[in-house]
Amino acid sequence: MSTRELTFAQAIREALDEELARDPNLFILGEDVGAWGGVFRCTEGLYEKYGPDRVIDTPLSEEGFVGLAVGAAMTGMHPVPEIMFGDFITLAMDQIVNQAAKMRYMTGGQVKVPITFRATMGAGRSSGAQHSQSWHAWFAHVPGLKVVVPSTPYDAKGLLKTALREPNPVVFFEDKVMYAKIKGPVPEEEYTIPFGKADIKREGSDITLVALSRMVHPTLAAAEMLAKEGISAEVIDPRTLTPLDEETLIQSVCKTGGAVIVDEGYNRFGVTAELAAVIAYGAFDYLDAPVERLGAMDVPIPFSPPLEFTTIPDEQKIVERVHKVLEGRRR
Amino acid sequence: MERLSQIAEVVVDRDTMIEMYHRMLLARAFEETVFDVYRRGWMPGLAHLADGQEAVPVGVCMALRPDDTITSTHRGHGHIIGKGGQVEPMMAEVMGKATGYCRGKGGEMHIADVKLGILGANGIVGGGIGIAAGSAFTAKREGKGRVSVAFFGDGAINQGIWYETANMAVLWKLPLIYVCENNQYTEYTNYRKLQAGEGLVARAEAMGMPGLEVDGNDVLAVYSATLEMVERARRGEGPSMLVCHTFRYGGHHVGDPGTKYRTKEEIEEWKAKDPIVRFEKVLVERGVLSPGDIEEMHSKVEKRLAAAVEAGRNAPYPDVSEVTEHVYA
Amino acid sequence: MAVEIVMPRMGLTMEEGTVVAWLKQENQTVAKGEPLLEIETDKSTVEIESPGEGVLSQILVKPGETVPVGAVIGYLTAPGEKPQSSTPEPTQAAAPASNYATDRSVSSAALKSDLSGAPAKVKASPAARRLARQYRVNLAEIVGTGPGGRVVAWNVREFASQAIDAQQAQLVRVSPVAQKVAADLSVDLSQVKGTGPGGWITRTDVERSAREAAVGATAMQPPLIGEKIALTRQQKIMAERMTSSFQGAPHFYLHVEVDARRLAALRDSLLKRAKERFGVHLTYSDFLVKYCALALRQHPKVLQQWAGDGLFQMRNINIGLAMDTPQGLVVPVIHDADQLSLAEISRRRAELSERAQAGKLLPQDLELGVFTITNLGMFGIDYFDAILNPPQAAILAVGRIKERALVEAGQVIAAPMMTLSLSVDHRVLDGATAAKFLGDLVEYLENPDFAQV
Repeated sequence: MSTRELTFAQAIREALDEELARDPNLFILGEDVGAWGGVFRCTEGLYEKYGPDRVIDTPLSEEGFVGLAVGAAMTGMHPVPEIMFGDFITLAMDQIVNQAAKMRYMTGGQVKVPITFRATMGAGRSSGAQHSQSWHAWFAHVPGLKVVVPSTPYDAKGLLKTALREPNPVVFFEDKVMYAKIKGPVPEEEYTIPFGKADIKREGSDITLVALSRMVHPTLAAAEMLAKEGISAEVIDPRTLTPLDEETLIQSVCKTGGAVIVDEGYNRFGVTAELAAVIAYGAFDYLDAPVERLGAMDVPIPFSPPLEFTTIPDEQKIVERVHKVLEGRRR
Repeated sequence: MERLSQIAEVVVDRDTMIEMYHRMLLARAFEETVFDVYRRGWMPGLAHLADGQEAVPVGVCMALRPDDTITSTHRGHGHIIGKGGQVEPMMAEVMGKATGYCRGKGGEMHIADVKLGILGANGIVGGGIGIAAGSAFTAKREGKGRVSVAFFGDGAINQGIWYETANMAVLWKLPLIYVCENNQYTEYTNYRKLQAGEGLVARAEAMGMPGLEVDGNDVLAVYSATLEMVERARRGEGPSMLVCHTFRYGGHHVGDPGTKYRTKEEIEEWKAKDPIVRFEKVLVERGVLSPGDIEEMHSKVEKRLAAAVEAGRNAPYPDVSEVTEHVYA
Repeated sequence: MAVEIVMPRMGLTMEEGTVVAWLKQENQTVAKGEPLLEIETDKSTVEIESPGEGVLSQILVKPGETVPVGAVIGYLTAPGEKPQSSTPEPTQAAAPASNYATDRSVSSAALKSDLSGAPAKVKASPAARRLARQYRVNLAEIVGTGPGGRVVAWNVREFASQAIDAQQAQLVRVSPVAQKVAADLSVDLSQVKGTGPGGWITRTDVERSAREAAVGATAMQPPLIGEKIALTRQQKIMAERMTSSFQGAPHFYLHVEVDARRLAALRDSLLKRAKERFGVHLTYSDFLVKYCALALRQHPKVLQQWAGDGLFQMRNINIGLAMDTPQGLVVPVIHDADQLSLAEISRRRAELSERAQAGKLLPQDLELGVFTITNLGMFGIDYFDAILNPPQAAILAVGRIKERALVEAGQVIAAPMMTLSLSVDHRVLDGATAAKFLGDLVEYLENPDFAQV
């Protein structure tokens, strides 16, 4: 297999391009996704290639165009609405939670709702409290939705292609900080990645680090720092929150006896809480210390850089939490 | 605020008129039966009835093709019947039984029959509007002249989704017909207290689409107005708005007598304009049906509903193992 | 500050002890490590060293009296310090510490109290608690090194391995002082002849033995033709466990020949598809694990384990597979095998095998086995008997599958046959019970379809 290096945004764009070519029912809609090529360049060139009927510039009406997408999905299309900043997804909440997620169930299985909501997440750009939030946990809380949180260009492309072939509503979160900054190998050849299969980004035996989306990168950096101290950290990326690969998490913690969960969403009632519960239940008898949860601080995300970076996890904070878990354990 | 539009009544053939009448009778009988079923404790939850409003759903849906789609509201039984839904699986659904349209998972507020183009009744006020816009989007893409109808009440017109989709529907010339069924009361409050401006047609016109305002208790007027809008949509000229003034006889749901916020006089005034009685007069006058025919149809419908109740009561509840089915495809 | 002298727990099964004699009088000064008293356990008499330096201020338990493990039997105070004013009731003080040890019935309720009784007051991680249950050690006796003194997993492993050493030492009847001296002088206690009362090895014996060894080493070179090879830890453990099993557990053996035609056909038919679909290579061992698990579920008595004065009823069907590795014999465990599909068993077996070969098995891979399968078929062995893997009550020895004569409907035909030998602990199971288990296992192996029922 031949591979080349793509940025995260290029990998997303390539998945969209390939699937637009493959499935005539697929169409993209959102704010500035067409002629402008997307605020984050994820749809660049697609408008020119597939035309204004398949890459549609919408008014700034999140509820409206998402609602329209739900109806189109119920009648045989596969819409791909882009929520430019994930923060704006609140405007479309009724359409996603009350309509898309439940239509199949409420109709006793009469309809499918194949729809892929692409939304961004992630802080660290001094974008302030309304353009920096990571709301993936909300959607993982809703039955009927699937939630994807890729961390690498390779995963992003493979998982997005799977999402674009899913007969269900999928909320696909892309950390905007990764779009241009994160590069990685992506095969030229066609591939997809199944949902519900965690990826072990690094094998280790002393501690399990669970991280998702962009947090995988500082976590891998932390694992490297720990290796220098003789601590062997395993880094697991669940890749999808719904469905969740509980088995891989539990097995890893059974092996290592401890876990630190790193997420850019809020701790309180968040992904770190859920994953900690999964581990505490499934690996209870193997835990040698309480599961550590390292999420965003429970404050609105501040603008000023030193404040902002205080609220989100980084390598140093991860290493500190690992030391806490391993306190008193012989290495 | 009512400024009824002048609409030329279209010529309606005899069979269509009889079918209209039949569906109105079914819709009325269904509501009256559910009222009884509810009071006897044979169904769980709440029941939102629309007796008195039958001319709107039937008048609109009779103007549609089988492949046209509708979205309905929490007060949606008439829309389902208007579009050809069967009262037997409806009754079973209302009772939460496995033989219901949605295998008991939707219930009284969420009946759907996708094969008939019924994309579901919706428990969120205005909840069906986005879906209807999406169906119109697909219809335009298909290019087969199919149209989409969004039924909603006077409450939903104040929801943002209406304006957001109206903007896109006009912009993209979607074959979408907004049907506002104004039954005068948004839950427990008269719509006049909640609605600013010059009325709903004015709002539609402000969005750049035509609107018509009709007597919603006159099934032929509703039918004629709808046909005009449907044809416009099929020609690719975009959306339009139909406002139908009507009245629900009962309260917001069974259990609310609906008399605290409405006067007896108001209710009686509307009952004097009953859509079924009015249509019966027309049918007899035009020689479509005789009083004897009408009597016979009443009795058939009543028997059918009684049998539907019986069947529903005897039907099994869904097996609890089904609870996890249909969450995902 | 007075130091408590408690009835020490000297072995894994010790619950109470009797004071034989105090070697110091009240008010006499003692040094730390000096012999202080002798106690008698169910196994032996042991000399106990002073836990500290000071004056034996108070003797609470007189010679001949028996008290539970952990009971305060006397006090040591600094010279001049006042003795303990109140005299605690020995048995009361002992209650928490001996809770685990005194409750040994086979009922699951009792087992539960084992798990939640004493350890509830000890701060310990779930992993540490699990290991404590497995090694049957009392968490209260373990010093935790985790945050706030929490007992963590390695504390238990360390403690348990010391306890096993202590038990081994006790078997050769040696005083703690002599034991320490032996360790210091690297004297193998099993080679030392005891001259103390009842063959006890004393400090003098150890020192003499060390001197003799030193003389012998220079005088008699080489003592034998060949050389002594040091034991690996694994070899040492194997030797100790097998000796204790073979001598301690009364074995009997059941033998049976299995018609493996259907099993072989089933494996052949699944082999390729299992590879493609699940990426696993199905071996006969995988089938054996699967069917043993099913048969064990039907015969929970086979899961029982001898506990001296009772039986432990084990619940989880964790099946060990004996594996030959460059480091020696290991028995990694497939946990809850009855809950796993054949493909899952196969995958797990392959993982364990890979780690075993690489010497990378984790402690939990070796833990909590309740039944063992040992298969020498791949070495061309037709048939053999295995020694029980303590504390398990049964082990299945599997020979190779080979064409042999089979009489069917009066005709002699050639058919693939497999021999099984089940070794059984007669303290736990009688012949009929074991035979019924083996019969059901054979039923599955001969009619694999039946396992689907």
